[in-house]
Amino acid sequence: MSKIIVVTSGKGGVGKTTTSASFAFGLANAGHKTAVVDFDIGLRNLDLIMGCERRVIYDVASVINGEASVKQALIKDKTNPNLFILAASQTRDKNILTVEALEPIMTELRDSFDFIICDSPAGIEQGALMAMYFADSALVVSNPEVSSVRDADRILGFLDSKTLCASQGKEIEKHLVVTRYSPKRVSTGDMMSLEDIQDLLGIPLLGIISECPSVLKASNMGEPVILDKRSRAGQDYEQIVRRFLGKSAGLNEPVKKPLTLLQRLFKNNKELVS
Amino acid sequence: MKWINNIIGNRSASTAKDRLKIVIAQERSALSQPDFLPLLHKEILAVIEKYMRISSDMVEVDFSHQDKSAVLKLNVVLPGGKRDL
Repeated sequence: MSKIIVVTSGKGGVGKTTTSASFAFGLANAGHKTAVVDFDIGLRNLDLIMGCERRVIYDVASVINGEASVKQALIKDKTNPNLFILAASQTRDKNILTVEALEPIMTELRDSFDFIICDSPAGIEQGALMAMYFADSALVVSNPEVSSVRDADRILGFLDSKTLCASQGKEIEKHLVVTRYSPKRVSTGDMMSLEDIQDLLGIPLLGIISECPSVLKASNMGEPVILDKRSRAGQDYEQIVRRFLGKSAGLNEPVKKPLTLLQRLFKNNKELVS
Repeated sequence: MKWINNIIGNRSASTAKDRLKIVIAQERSALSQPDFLPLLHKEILAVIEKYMRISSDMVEVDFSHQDKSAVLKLNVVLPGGKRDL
């Protein structure tokens, strides 16, 4: 049974595309046939994050306009044979995204994939609403920051009222992903904690992504950060995928920066002294 | 410290810049070009597909300007390089 998952947030710049890319890659790596679809018509970026920007020939709009089939428009990932990307159109009007236009595409994707990840644009316009419309499940991405949490809450309202699931009286499965999390700043009281955010939003936490320089590096290189297995963020995304697939019950612990050799020496010294 | 950055630090940033240069140039030219260009891309692809088994990701189409002329670069990678395609 295939599953459509929307990655959404309301606010821009919180990590929807980064999350879509790494989450999709992780699912594909676990052996599931996965498609990741960019819904940000006019401002596509998923292709850049996935590093396939030079291989985009057809996009969602070409499929809707009948210039290409879904199969033709799907771009195979560079390294993962289970992963395919459907790019957003860069030039055309975003009003091409309608329920009627998307329905046959989503049905076809459902037939050939285990997971379909819909990378939502920011905002609550047509593109964002269409990205969530067909979803069975949602990853709601938020930073530990006031405007981001508020916008995430707005999106929760839309998930419960403007989706196919909602219109059929079913509840869409919702997962919280907190990105750019810094335990150090939480401990100094400068950042809202996970508990705070969960309290406010009232949906289960799937995982956290630590603030990590490797995210920028990965996007520079056009490779999902999950591929950087040594990085904190890469491991965090791995854990999120495992939890989503039910292979791991535990949350990824928000670990402070690993101690450097020098710090470790000092720590040991302190312990010896005391 | 700059020399250390030059050796280890700046690689991904310069990759990012190179990738963006290409993408941005492509998109700017797409906006300033006549509408038939994307169609032309697709038809060239369709013609190649007629004679060879090739998937769309083996074909790279680049459009650029050099001096006063426009250059359409087609880069087609053939699988195996054998004749029985």
